[in-house]
Amino acid sequence: MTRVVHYVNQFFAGLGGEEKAGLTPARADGPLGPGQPLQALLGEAARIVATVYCGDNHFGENEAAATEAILALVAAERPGLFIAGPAFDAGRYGIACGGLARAVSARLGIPAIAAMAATNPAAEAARREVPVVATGSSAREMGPALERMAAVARKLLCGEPLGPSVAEGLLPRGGRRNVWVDRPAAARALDLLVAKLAGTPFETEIPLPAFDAVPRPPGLPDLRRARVALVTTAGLVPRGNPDRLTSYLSSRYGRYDLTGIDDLSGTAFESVHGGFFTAHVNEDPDRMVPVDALRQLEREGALGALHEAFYSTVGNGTPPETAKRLGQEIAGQLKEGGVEGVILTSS
Amino acid sequence: MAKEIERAGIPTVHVTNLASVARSTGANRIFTGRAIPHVFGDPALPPDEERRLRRRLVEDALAMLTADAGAERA
Repeated sequence: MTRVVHYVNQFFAGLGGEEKAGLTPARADGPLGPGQPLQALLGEAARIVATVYCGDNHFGENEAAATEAILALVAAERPGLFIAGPAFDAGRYGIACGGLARAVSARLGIPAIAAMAATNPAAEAARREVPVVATGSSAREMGPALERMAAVARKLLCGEPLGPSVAEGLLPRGGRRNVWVDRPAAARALDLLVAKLAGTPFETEIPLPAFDAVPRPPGLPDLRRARVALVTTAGLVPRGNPDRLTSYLSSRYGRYDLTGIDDLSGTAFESVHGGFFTAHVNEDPDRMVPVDALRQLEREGALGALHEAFYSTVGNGTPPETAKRLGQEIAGQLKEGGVEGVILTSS
Repeated sequence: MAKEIERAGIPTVHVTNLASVARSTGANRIFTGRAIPHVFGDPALPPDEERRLRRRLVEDALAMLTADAGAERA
């Protein structure tokens, strides 16, 4: 019977939502929240002896210190397995799950698994280092996620090697294992080409990496003559959200005039982002889109000009392809407006 | 988004408290803000101090725009 430690965030530990996202690392006996059905699925082979939890903001803002504290809590339980998540699409929670699974595995030498959606911002960094169970995007898919996590956990517990990622329900781990195939590469390549030309479905044998490197534009030669624009993914919009930007899965952006505005006020603007605690930004939107400071620098001559409008979308569950399109559209507008530099703020 | 704006030739500083995510997407200029809910502010400070903090952070972010790239600042 193997001892297991489970990691969840403040919400799944049952302590609260965004207002508790600053909680420091702590532990509780036995399983909490989704750990309870997970324990039932694990059966007699394993026992979740403790749940370690932490606020998502605290982890994100203090990754190194929080990791140390959590590693100590985990080590004290002497577990044979560590399970983090499922984080679904929650970026901060995914960062914690992926980071902690990696740290427990690499530094404590304890087998670790994490679980999150393929679109989670943390998935790319975690998937090659530890087994990451691929889940759906939201907690509506908790049941299947826990089943797959338990299945992978059971294999690790009895020392069974994990098969190909697709078969195990894991995010691709980037490993390569030699296998025999029945047809030579030239024939398989021609099959792919014929399918591509005919428009029939095909599956690449080697998926190309999702994120390409962009050649870096040189720095601005002189800020005093530069036109700088503000862009934000924190969902800052005029009060009332006239363009009806959605709080999640945003597919559009807004362009909001700054002419004659020296300071953003909470009476005129608000954040409609559904994934972070917006009260501070709603009280003073300059905390996220710093118009007041840039205007001051503009007046003093330290900055050439603050661009006449800012661009805003909600970065919450946005798939990379959509973010790419939004970036391209905004970039086009910025170029037309003669913008030379951008400060892009995210929550 | 920051990468697409840079791809169009406009240097862009990404201000975020989730630098690990920005890094894994390959962003070129990453500036760590004050905190997730208020990257350019701190409601725990008195208003004057907060405005001074914001100005310093903004100046530091702008400095990254003038530097040739590959920078990250905590």
